[in-house]
Amino acid sequence: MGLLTNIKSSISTVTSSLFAGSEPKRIGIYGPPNAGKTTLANRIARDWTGDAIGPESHVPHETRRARRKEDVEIKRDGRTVSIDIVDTPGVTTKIDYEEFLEHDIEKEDAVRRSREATEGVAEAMHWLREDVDGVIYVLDATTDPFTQVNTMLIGIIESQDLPVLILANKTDLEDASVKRIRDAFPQHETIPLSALEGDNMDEVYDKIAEYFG
Amino acid sequence: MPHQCTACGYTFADGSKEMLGGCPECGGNKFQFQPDGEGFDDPEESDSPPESADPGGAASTVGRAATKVRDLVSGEEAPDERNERNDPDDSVDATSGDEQTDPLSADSPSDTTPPSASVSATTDDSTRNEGESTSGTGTETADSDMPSADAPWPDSSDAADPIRRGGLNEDGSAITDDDTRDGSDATPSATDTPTAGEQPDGADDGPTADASTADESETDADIIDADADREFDSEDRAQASARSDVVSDEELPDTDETADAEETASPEQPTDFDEQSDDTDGLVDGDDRPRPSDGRVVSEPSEDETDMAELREQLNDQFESIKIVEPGQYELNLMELYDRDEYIIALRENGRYVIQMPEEWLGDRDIGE
Repeated sequence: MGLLTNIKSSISTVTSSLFAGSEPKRIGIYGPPNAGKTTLANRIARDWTGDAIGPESHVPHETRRARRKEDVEIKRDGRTVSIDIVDTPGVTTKIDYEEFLEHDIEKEDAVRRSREATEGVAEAMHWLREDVDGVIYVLDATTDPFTQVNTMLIGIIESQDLPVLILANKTDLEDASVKRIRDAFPQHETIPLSALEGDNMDEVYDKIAEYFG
Repeated sequence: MPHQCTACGYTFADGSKEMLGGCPECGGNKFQFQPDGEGFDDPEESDSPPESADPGGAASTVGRAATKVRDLVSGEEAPDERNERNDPDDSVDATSGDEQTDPLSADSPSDTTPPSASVSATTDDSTRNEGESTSGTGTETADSDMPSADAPWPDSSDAADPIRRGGLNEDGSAITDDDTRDGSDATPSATDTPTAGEQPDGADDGPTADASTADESETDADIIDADADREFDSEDRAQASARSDVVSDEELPDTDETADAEETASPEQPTDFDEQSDDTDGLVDGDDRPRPSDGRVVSEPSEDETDMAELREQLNDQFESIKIVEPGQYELNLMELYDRDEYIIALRENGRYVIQMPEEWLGDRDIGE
């Protein structure tokens, strides 16, 4: 914790000055499907507002419309950081209803889900361009981060000069590899966590306060 | 910057996609197209310049007429056609409502002779224009009529079509001028004077004009004269000179050619049009540029064409951003999705989207569709 605190303080001196005294930042939670975005959003929202943002599921594309939670106040080190959290549909380049069939979903419903998920991706991309001031990029630490989607999204975020925090989620799973994610995006800080278990959430809040407060 | 918003004057580069979503400045959705190198005028203003000679009332009517005609018969007016105009004989008819034609009509009278004729000719133009303005299709019909001028003209025809009548009148009046009309022509109005400047051109045309037409026209002229008369009170110097003097071909302005072109052009027009539609650049390239008058009127139709092509391209792009492999299977182009201003809010199995244009229309309504 001491090490993390040091890193935090060094970064905070830079970033906190950038955003001091402004409106609540609208922070988009982005990432591929099933990375745990909604689980994280719900945890943040529950921790600080008592409400949830949306239903979580093992089924990919459970979140098919962007959902927003406004004025989430995160208290860190005696000060309060207010942010709007936008939970976005998982971004992918291919959506196939057959994917849903594996989850015991009827074909008709699967096709509809697939269509809605596609719309959701379009919406997420739109939000990324127009409506977010910062990005929490959530990755499943058990999967290979070197994908077209991740590379493209991180590239877009960088090109927009948006502050971005990369979270290596699902550290509660055995085959999670935070290092693999850290190595994939060495230019950004990577924070391990388990949104499901609530592991390392303190550091996540610290970083959120630093980056987006 | 060939495109301009007609509401606020905001300009767009050729091929700009901005305007597809409406004018970013004022939200307007009407644009005019202007080939490179030419300044923008108000559509109406641009039309009027040639006619400017005529006092306000006439000019404005003509302007409106031109606009109307342009919209309806854009093809004919294409500059290319005018340029191409080859038949001197036909030229007499005057043809399309454009001012350019006026000179021609003037010519015919001069050729034919009677001094008074020249005056009436000018008037005819004005009248003619009005006539055209009233008739949507007027231009073409008018042109077709003109040729007929050479052949014996049935009086009935003139009287019959009110719309055409305008066109006929012009021809007729021009012709009429020859002799009888003196009385009628006598009335030349102040308006004529401004036109005087143009008349010289008409005189130039004279050589080209067909005497034959004049004769035939005479009969028609009588009928037509009535209309012409009111406008003209007297002949002014320019008109007189226009009637009596002959100008060499070299001196002739492009306009005469253009005027002739119209008649001949009509068959050709289709081709020009196609080219325009296919090729945005083509529009700009045209010989038309040289002519001041051509650019504005002619190019507009092409603009529509280009816009359609652009729009089609846009739609294609949209479909590329989300490819529907089969119902329930989609391939997404993230960069395309990211790059668009509007986002897709409803996706149909039949491959259609309902999209929301930022600040353009309300998405909810569309979703229900």
